[in-house]
Amino acid sequence: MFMYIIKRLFYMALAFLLVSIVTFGLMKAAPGTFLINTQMLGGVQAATDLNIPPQLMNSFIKEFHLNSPWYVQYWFYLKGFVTLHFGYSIEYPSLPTMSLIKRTFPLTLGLAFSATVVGTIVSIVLGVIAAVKEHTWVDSTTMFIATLGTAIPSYVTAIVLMLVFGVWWRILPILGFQGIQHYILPVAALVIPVVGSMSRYMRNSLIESLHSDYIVSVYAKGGGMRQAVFGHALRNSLLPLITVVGPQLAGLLMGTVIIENLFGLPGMGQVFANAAQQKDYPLIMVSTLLYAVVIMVMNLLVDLTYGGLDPRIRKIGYVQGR
Amino acid sequence: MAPLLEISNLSVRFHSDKAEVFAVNGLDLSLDTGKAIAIVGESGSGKSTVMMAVMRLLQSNASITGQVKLDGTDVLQLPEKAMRRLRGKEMAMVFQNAGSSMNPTKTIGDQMIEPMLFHHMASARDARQVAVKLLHQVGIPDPEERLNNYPFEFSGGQLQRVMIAMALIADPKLLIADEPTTALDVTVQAEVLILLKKLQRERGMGLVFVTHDLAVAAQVADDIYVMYGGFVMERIAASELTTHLVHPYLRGLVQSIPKIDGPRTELPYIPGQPISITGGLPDGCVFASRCDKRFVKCHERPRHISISQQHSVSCWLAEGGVEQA
Ligand SMILES: Nc1ncnc2c1ncn2[C@@H]1O[C@H](COP(=O)(O)OP(=O)(O)O)[C@@H](O)[C@H]1O
Ligand SMILES: [Mg+2]
Repeated sequence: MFMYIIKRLFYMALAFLLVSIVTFGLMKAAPGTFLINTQMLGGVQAATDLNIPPQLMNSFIKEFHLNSPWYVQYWFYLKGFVTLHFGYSIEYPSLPTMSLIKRTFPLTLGLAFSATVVGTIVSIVLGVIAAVKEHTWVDSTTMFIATLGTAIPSYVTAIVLMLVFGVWWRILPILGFQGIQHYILPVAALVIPVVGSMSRYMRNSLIESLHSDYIVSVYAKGGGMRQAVFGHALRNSLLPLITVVGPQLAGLLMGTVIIENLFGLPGMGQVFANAAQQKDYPLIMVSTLLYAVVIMVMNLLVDLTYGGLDPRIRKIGYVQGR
Repeated sequence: MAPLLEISNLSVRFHSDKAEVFAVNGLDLSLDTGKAIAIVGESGSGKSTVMMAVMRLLQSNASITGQVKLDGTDVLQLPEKAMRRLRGKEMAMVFQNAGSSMNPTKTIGDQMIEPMLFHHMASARDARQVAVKLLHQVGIPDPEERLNNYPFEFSGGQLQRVMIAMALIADPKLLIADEPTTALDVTVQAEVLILLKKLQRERGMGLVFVTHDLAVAAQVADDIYVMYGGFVMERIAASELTTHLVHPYLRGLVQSIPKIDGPRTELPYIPGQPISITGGLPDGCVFASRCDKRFVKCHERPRHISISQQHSVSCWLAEGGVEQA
């Protein structure tokens, strides 16, 4: 398991480097970027393009080492991020980006994290119910509702939720953030589409496990449905599920950008959306990497869970015959 | 004394979208306590289906008729709950492919003790003690540590030994082994066979040994049932196999066993394809299409007639006396 974790961490570091290079490259290539700076006029030109006050531009030239070759610029960008020296942004010149992130990021992280946990648990529960009742009305009803959840875009789901729980029944707040109950609807809006596909996946995976030879063995030993599902098949059917949780998470995190805007939650999503709209390149660069790091950490957790569930991964690092 | 296992007139049909499969067609079989029988036949002859019917583990698309008496009780009439009390305790099963028949993500210890836990026979800790003893008996070194290993950490032969130990943990009266050595190398195959036979003798269990290999069957069993197309073609004592056999199908099988001391000639084999049992059965003998002794009578289905106490056969050649064969 130790070697497995080291390996995962190494891959993560590699992925981080790649994402940072791509981000840096894209930002340099983007039209009107302040990073296009030749010693002579680039900085001034870009600054006028972007309506940046000259003294701020000068501080950028210093901060981003715009008078040095690109690899030096990249190095300081990377170093700044890793050491959490995020500097200042164009949009919020008086507020250190670090404090901006401190103020908004926890909310987004909390939103994404609770949506992941709730989504996974609900998917597993629904999937198990449908699989155990395979080919009955329980199965088809559960799966029909799940499909509806996936088919409807999350912003529509969000509006329906706001309408029903916030406007008609008035039991849940729909705007702003003053407490945990403000989380409920946004999390629901994020989770419903994810649950649609994940619960179906869980169902099929569990049904496949339940049809394996080793389940026949369980019955041959005198076990019943309960022993077959909870003693054997469930754990094994989680393995394929976990591999799809990873990609789902990335989508979910991006979903928070829309959902935060809809529910007026003061999270990273709003900062990020504004930064993109205002071409606030320094802020885009920082927040993109931050989102990437979150996705990578979540994927690491997914991988570790996988290793925890499958002894073959844990002990020899791979599964034969896959 | 009543036989340990007595199957009478067992038929199994599988219903699928396209057609009905006549997998087993009126099979009789009997096994006394402490004895071993072998069921021999080509792949698809219905051997596994019979055994799964005995365990009542067939898929839901199977319809079963007839009687399967274990110690005088017809298990086909038992409710599922009562059936569960028999499985793993009164009768246990060893499957062909140990690799896929064990859960890859649970230790073999956890899987081995399940019969005792399911039947509330012991605490997990006591059951593990029993498991250690059994692993030792089946020849797994360092059983205490091995209990915490996963199936992928064993070789095929070792895993088959583990499966045998697992089947024996609740001390069943009847052990069903469905091609337990088919997936193994020849040398390992012989070792596992000897082990199985030894354990059966020591414990005085009834053993049903399913195989497609007549030579193996003759080594292990007292009685041999030869199956073809879901019918028993011939039932014969292993000791009389080469001297008294009647059925042309069995003769074909015997001739296709390689002889170690004989001349190295090309082995004769039974020409033709195994009969298709999907959709329906022919009116006559199911083997007729491949039989070199076929004659007019074979358009009618032969009865299963007794020649002696331990010898019976389904062939028109036997009707007029054995000497015709
Ligand atoms: N669940 C099933 N549905 C349909 N046909 C089946 C099913 N199980 C087995 N069969 C068919 O029944 C016949 C006997 O199979 P089986 O008992 O496995 O043979 P054997 O063990 O002798 O190789 C085969 O033709 C097989 O295809
Ligand atoms: Mg078989």
